[in-house]
Amino acid sequence: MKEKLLELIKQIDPTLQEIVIEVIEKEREYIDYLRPRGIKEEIRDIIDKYAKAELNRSNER
Amino acid sequence: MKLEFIRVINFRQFHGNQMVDFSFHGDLNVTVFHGSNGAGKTSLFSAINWCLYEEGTDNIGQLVSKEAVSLALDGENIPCVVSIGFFHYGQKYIAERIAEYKKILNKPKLEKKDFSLTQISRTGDSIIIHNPQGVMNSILPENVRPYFFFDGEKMDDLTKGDTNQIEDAVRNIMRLPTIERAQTHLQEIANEFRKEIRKKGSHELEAIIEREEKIRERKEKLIKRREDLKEEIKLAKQKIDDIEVKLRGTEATKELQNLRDSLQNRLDDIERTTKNNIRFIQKLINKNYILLLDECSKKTLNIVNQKREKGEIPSGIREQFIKDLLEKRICVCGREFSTEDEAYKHLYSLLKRTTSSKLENEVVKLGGSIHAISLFVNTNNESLNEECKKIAENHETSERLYAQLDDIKRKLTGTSIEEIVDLEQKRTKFKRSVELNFNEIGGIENELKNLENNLEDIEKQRVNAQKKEKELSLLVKKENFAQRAADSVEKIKDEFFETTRVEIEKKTKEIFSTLAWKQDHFQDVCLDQDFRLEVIDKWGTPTRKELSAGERQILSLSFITAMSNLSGEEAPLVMDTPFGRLSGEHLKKVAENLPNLTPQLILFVTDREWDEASRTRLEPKTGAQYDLCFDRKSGCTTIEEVCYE
Repeated sequence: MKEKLLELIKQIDPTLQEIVIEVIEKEREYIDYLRPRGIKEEIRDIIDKYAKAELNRSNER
Repeated sequence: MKLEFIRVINFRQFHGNQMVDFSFHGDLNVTVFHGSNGAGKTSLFSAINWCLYEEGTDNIGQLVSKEAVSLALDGENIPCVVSIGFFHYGQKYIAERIAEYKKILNKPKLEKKDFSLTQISRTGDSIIIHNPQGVMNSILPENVRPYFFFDGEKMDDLTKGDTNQIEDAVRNIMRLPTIERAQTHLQEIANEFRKEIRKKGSHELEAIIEREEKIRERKEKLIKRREDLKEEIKLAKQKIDDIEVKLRGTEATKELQNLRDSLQNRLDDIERTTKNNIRFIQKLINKNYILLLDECSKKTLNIVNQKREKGEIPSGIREQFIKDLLEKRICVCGREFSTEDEAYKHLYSLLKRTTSSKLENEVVKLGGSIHAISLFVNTNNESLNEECKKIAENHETSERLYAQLDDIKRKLTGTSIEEIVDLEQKRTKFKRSVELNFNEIGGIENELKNLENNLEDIEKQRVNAQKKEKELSLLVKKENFAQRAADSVEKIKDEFFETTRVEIEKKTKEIFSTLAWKQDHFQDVCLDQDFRLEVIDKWGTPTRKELSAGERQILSLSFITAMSNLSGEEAPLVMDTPFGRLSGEHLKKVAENLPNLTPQLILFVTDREWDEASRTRLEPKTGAQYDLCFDRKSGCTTIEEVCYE
């Protein structure tokens, strides 16, 4: 089923794929916490990283 | 996760230190613990749950061995320990939970609890895991534990219609909460980004650009108007020149026009001179700060003079001059003297009154500077007055010349020759037009200057706004990513959940058909979209409610092993009383197939469960068997390995 999940993720936009995989990985690290502290900041960092990269790419173009 | 060994110290009826190995290799993946009722099967089963998750000990009474407590002295510490060695994807770990008790007044009092997880390398080095429960949960989550470590007699609960339990089981074992949390967090973050955008996105840059465009438009219009005016002036001047040529060429007006030419030339000269005067005055005024020093410098000069008179500062006698006289012993008048003479004494006393030549120089310089300031102030004042006077004179002359020009104009318009009147009137009209156009150009240039200043300000504002805009576009991009990621996860989640349901249904059906003996009687097993587990009989009717206790257990076992198979989790099945409700064909089929459905099987069985049917089918796959031997006298159980052929 893990493969099935990856297969489903691979059907979405490539940039989003990477974000989703990283976010799910992050959630796995925190799954044992009822109210995980700091996870949203870490997810924001992930999104920030990809958004900046995308903007840089469009500026270069 | 495959269990390698368990060690119990003073846990329940297991007094002292006892350790057993589990079997988990290849075809010998079954470990069996035999015990009569009360011998300690459930205690040992609980020891596994307690050690790994601190769970499963709610209804089993006191944890620490009663025998250990009774043998301990008052005040003595009694450790209650369970250690489990296990492998997880090639890594070896030892999990250990300790409850330290102290015997106080014949009763055990819990002093401290501890849980540790250590990773052991092949060379024997150990790494202490700093978040042991967290890592334990990542190996096998606590919420999926009940589907791997369970009581066989209670497992048919899953089929009793409480759909939430099945849905929760599927969600947990497939780790759906991870995906759900990812979706929730991404959605929350997207909402937060949107709020930030609303706060920051004030269209500031748009407004600035709009303002700038308006200013530039106005500037262009003004420049165009200025050019037009200049052209009009040029044309009007040309017309005036033409008229004046005509007037100069006409006998009746020749004299007046020549006079006008001369007056106009003089006026031009005066205007030039006045402009020069004004420039000169501006220069003088620029240096006029020195005027402010005039009063101050006079006061300073007074003070210096007073000091001189009192002899506090040099009164003009230079130190070096006196020193030279004393050295040569020749007076100013040329007379020679000795050290005994009055002249020598007088000069010597003067030397005492002199101060250092440096100070002397400074004082002399200061005096000079103060004099220079006074002189400059006086000269400057005189020049200013003179220039102002010249300007006033020029004004007077101009007024007189304008009056004369006006007189000429009146004479020309008052003449009886119509053509000359007409020419002069036209000339006046063109002249007015030139003056008015100059006036308008002045206004335009003033406005252009203001517009330039505004544009400079706007440029600064624009740079700031662009910086903000850049931040905003990043924010917009982030919001877009977060929202799209949240939407994608939502879609993936639903699809994954549905795929999972279908796959579990398929696998459950497959296992159920292997384990149930009435294979022909049951046509289908369904896990509907509301997660209700149902069995359809050969007549096509739902028959779950009619299933026997043993059949319900088979159905639950099929469902659990299906989930375990599909989850990809490498975890053992640990079953207490696995065959309590099974008999006949069901028992044979479960005993025969269960070892193939799981990587490791650990069973806690009674004598009745370990009958011919189960023993003959399981023993070929069993690598370790233990008897739980209960000693009636001590009330303790010892674990003894069963040797079999």
